[in-house]
Amino acid sequence: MRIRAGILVVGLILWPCVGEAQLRVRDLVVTGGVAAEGYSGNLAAVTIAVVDSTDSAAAAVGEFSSRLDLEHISADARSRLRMAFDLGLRQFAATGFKVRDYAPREWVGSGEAVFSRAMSSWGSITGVVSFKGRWVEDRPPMPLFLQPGYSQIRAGAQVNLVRSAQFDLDFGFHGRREDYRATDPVKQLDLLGRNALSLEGGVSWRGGARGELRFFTTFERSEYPQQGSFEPDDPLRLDHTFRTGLTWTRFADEIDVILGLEGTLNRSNSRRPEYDAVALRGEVSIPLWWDLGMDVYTVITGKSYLFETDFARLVPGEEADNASVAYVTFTRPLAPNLDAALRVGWTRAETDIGDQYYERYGLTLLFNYRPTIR
Amino acid sequence: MTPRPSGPQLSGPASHRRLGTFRGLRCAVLGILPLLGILTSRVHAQDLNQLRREIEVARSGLELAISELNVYEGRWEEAYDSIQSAKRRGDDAALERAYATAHALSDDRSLAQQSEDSAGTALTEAKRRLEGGLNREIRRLELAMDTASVERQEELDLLIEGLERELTDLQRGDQFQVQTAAIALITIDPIDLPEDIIAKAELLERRAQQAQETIDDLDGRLEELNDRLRRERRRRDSRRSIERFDDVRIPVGNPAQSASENSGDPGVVAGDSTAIQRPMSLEEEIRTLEELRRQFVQDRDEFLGRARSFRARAREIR
Repeated sequence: MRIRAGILVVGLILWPCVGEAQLRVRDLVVTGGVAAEGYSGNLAAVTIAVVDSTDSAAAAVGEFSSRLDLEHISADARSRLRMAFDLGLRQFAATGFKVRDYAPREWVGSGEAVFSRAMSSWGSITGVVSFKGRWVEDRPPMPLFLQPGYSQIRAGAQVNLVRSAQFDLDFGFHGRREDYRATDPVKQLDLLGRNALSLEGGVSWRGGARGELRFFTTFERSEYPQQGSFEPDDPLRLDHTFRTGLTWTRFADEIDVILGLEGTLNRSNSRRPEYDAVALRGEVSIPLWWDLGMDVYTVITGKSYLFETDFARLVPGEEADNASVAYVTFTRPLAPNLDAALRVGWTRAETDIGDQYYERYGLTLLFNYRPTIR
Repeated sequence: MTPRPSGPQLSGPASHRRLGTFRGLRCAVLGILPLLGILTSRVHAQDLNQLRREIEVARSGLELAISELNVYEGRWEEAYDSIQSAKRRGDDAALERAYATAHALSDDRSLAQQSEDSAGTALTEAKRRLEGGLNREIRRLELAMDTASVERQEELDLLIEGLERELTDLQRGDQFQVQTAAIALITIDPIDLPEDIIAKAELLERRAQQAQETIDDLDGRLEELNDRLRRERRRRDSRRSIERFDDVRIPVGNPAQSASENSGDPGVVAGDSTAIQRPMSLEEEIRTLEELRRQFVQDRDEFLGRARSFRARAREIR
């Protein structure tokens, strides 16, 4: 029902543009690829029905996906509507488990519409609406962790105020609703559903060739309507999260860099999920020789809980932003509309039992085909 | 043998009555015809006046469109000079601003050119309709001459003569031509010697050379932007392939941190916001520069074409 409502909202936004036939395809990419992955960590997970005592597992993976980006610019060039649609299928053939081999399959789909309008003197306004859905079949036990299925609807608005040629201020709010599908016997997944509202303010400084620096602060209020707080006076869990950080973005001289440092304080009416965390994020694109390009994507996090407990922390809860990931992708064009990408990936993430970690390694070969480029 | 009557016998009271009716009808018709002639000639005159008004409106529209286009052509020339001047000084910031101004003008100039084209087409159509109307009226008056009295024939002669003069004037026509301001200033005067004409041709060729330099510069910028677009696409592909299946939301991280599909667009080019108060994406920037390039190519070709015709004219005079 919510997905249909999301599609309806996007359809209503699209309708006038389709009527005027001014939609432009910004990008269309069809991706196919294969991967080999290894997982380690003899761990338990509360959200997974099956349990296996293996220390490590491996999987051969095939994936297929497509992405479509559309753009509409108004006649006065002040308004822009961008839409992005993404569909993907990933099939695993996993082995190394003691109970049986698994063949999990993931389906994902998402859509987003972002409308922005430049106001004559003082800045711009932006509105966003998006939906995302995910389905997983034959979800395996740890250490091969796959995100459970869920649906998400998100909407928000932002105002950008141009203070000078170098400084911008921005204020925004977002709301989202997430619904995790509980499938018997993992009823705990239902507990992950939440409604959240967030307010964000930021100040940006544009330094020309030195890039752009943005400081931001976010306050988020998250309700978990299915989840108890274990506090008789305040029975439903309610979290307040405060984030602050900065992002440096520089696109110049053939090297693109996005670096971010972010601190998080999560406080709740339930003591169990309260924590402090810090994350360093980085994206770097560098051209190499023979038309080869390298893209690095990393997130390194550290986290400390305020209270020690033997109970599962992450289920119910969503405070696992302490995963560290590193991906290095080498891309080479094979034709004007076909790229080949070889990706090496590593992940270290906490299971839903706090302070326990599993690792994942992967080698992926992907082909990106753009049919609209000749 | 009495011959058998072969036709109607117009004798006797009944025949007289029928004859009287026929004569009355003929008189009525003969009486109405001049009235009809007056009425139709008035109708034709009204039609012609309507067509004349249409042509005046179309001509005013074209004059207005031309003057508007001339304003943009003047500004285009200023922007063009600013680009050349910034390039000579090696002032990148000024060059960026000059390109931004040219971008902003580019659309208005194209629209003004389209308006001028439409107004020109409207005037041609109006002329064609008036030509048709005048020809029809001349034919009608010539037919009327056959049955007209001598006095009336003289009147008709004068009318036809006037209409034919109007038709000739119309066919000779006013030659509305719009050229870029620079080209419009460089024309051949009747007193020009072949050397003067060749000097003007050389001036046009220098302008063509400057246009070519700008085209080369735009080609360089387009190549750079296309490289950036390829890099951005590569980065977007890489990011999406990691985020698509939630591999970076492990186990169930904060989805608000996952980037928007459309956020982090690096396609912002400095100075673009001066034109539309909104940062341009790389794709928009490329489209705009391609349009700008097309206009410079058109200018270059016009300069060269004009220079060739000047040189040919100089050879003829010699």
